[in-house]
Amino acid sequence: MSLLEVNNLNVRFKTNDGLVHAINHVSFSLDKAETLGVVGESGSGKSQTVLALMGLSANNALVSGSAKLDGKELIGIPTKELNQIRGNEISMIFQDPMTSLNPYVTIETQLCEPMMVHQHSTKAQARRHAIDMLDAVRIPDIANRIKLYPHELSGGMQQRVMVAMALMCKPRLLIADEPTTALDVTVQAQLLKLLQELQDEFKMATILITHDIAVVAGACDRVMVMYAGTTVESAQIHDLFANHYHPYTSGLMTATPRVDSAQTKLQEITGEPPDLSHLPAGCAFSPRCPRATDICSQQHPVLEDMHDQNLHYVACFHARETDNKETLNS
Amino acid sequence: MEKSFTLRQKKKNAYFLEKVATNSYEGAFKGRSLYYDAWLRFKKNRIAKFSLVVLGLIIVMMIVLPWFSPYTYAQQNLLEVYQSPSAKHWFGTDSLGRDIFTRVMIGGRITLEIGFVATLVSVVIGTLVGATAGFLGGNVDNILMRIVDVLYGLPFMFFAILLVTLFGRNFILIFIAIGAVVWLDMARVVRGQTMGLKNRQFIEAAHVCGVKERVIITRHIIRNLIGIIAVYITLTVPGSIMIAVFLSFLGLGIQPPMTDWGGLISDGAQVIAFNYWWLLLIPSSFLTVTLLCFNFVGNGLRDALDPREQH
Amino acid sequence: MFSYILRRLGGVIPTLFAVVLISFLMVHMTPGDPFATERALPPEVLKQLHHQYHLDLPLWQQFLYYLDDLIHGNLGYSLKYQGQSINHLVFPTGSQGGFWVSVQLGTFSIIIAGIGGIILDIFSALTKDTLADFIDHVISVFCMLVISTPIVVTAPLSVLVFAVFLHWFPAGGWGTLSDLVLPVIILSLPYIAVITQIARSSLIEIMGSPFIRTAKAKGLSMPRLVWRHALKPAMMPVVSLLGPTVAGILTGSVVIERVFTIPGIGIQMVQGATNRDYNLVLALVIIYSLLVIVFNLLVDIIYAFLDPKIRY
Repeated sequence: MSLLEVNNLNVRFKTNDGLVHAINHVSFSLDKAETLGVVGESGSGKSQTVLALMGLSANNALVSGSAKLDGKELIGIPTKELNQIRGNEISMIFQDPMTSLNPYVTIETQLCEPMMVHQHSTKAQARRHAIDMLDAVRIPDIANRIKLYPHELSGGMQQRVMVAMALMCKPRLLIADEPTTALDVTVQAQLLKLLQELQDEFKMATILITHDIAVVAGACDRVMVMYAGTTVESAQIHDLFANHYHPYTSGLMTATPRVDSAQTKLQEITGEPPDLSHLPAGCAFSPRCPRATDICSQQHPVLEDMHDQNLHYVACFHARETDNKETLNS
Repeated sequence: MEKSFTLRQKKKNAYFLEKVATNSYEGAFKGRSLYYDAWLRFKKNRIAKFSLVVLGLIIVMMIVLPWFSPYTYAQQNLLEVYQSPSAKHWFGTDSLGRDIFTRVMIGGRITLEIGFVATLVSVVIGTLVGATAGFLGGNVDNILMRIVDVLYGLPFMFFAILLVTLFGRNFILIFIAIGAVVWLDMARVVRGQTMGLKNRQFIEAAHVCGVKERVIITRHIIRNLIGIIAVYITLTVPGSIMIAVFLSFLGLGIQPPMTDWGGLISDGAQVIAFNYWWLLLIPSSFLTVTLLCFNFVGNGLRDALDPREQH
Repeated sequence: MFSYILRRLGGVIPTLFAVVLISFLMVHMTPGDPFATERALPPEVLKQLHHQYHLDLPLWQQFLYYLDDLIHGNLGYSLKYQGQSINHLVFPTGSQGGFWVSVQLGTFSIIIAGIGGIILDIFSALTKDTLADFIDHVISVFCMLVISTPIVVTAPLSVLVFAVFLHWFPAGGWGTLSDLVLPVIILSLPYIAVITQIARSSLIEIMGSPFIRTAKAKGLSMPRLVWRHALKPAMMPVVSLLGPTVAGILTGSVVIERVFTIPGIGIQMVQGATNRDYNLVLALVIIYSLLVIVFNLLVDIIYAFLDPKIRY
């Protein structure tokens, strides 16, 4: 049985301009110690998906569907029950460490909090564990730094503190929401490496959200590509890089610089992501799709298995016709 | 107490007025859109619109009704002291048998007059200081704004009382005292706006040359100031009224037998132990309703001119 | 921290000096003899009096004398109560009254304003956009009403309702706890509203900030979230607002002392103004300014202490 089972998740936002359909019928599952990469442009709903799992959606959100952690439902349960899970069994790292750490509280207090709340440990125990964790995320000179306030650390160090904080209770699932976006490139690489090592060490499943498909390539077992709140393609990492069927995935690939190919010019995906309060009747990508036909603007494509070596799901009417990668590159 | 108003508005005001300044300046290029849009938004705000109507009614009452009253504000009738409201004396009479209705109307005139004139005084002082600081910049700016900062921290009301002590109760003095208390916000706002305009002027000058540009700029500055001053006045008048009422309540305002709402409330407060409730409640209600209306209109104008402030 | 306080203290002295200088000049540049209002005095007596009060010296020497007196804690002599020292009026020995009464009244009011404002703002901010939305609306309307009603109205009105009609509290006086209730509540009411408004918008902003999301993701309960993570940053604007609040409360206390016949320095101020007792009013202006300046200094220090981003 898989660790996390998400079934038909929907998130809508009530606004003055009507309903915004942020997440539409998203389903996926995650095994123990597996890493899932979620890729997409900003606004594709990748962050909203995990926020919904954590019960962190905004006040005006309507969340429906099901998400089970080890068989226990997460969606729609009382905050009190949810509070026993988040920070304890599921932890989350956010995009911008500078605003995601409380500037008025010392990192010691912020680190100790999850353990004191979830395991009812004493401050001294929590502090000892916090120092171990800071050691694990390789923050030098920990003993002198634990009393500091977040702004007294660099961005990379702050994000390491965030990671240490997320690991305090040894969660079974770690969600990292664009953990490296706000950091320098060199620091990014260090942090990703650190995350991978920690994942092996702690044997936890990870959901890694990024808009950078190159990050996914190095760090994930499986990839889910999202567009306008829906899953458009989902596959093992090797399968995806070998064969990608959805034109949006192809677009993402060609828009990313690669060291291993002779390609010199990056291609952009033309057009804008759709307005989520007025989604097109058919495939959400059809207005930007080079291969769109009549059927694309009339009906929703459903996820279908492409029967590669492993399961490879694609939601496109034209998926079987040709190899998209070649089409686009030629 | 008079500060509660300035206090509440201070941060917000400085912020949004500065924004209004830049907005209306940009709006000037797009024709009348900003002020027209603002008016449309204001019309949608029911409380503000209702308050504006009530305010208009009160002002018209103050001006017109005393002419039709058979009594004057100073006319005593020792046979009819402390009469409760009746057909003969709508709002009753006071310790000297004077008609409270007439006195409330006349007193209201004085209170509103003080409120408006004191606000104008503060607008003039504030604009002069703010514009000087903003245009000249450098050390002049530093010194002037440092002075404004220091003055912000002082309990101005007490200096006003000192003024009254020195010169006696004096109508003009009250204007000066109140104007001197409330000009600080205006100075800050105008300074910020002038500095913004100066920089824009510089950029504009690169595009267009000659006197014509200057004419446009001047026109825009005037346009700007109108928008700011309109909002500023509606938000400062109630503040000034509160100070005027405060001084009169302490017996440091207008000279009897002339009176204003503060004086009437003070008279009423002295006899509350004897249940002459109308002497306190009637002028108090007029004062409170007027202040509420000004605040609602002011907030409405502010929100209309800067829709981003709304949630 | 210590050097920061010293530096702030250094900034206070020019302000204080300016206050003394301005008010002194206002008094002494006004034409007219302080003794002219008394019954006609023989010229030699007048001369004697002028000499006694240093009025025969040039203005700057008079100012230095005054400054010297102030530094030694001598506030000068009242003109109305011939020969009475102002120190004796402001700090009466034995009987209750004067400066400390006003300070007590002000202190209680600030405490109530702070506590009341914070409690109301938490209720208001946390019920916004929830099922209990009406609480937020009621509090907002209350704030608008209270802010638009001056103390000049609420103070006598509260006496009429709670003392004359209901007999719940005494109509005036000073000394017992029940004497305190009405004056303190009425004086703090507008500031409860002001603090509620400022703190509400600041708390709403903080509750939507990323670090609160992080804290939620850690599984913290709502009380812990508000108490440990949101309240302190949300209160920072309120702390910086305390300076002007003190100035306002001191100003309002003059009205309160008059309505509730509390024997503080506010009443003396009004009497001094009515009697045109320059020296008394001058001394009281300086005392009130000193209170406000010292409190602003305290607020600055508290702010620096609370905000980890400020380096001393």
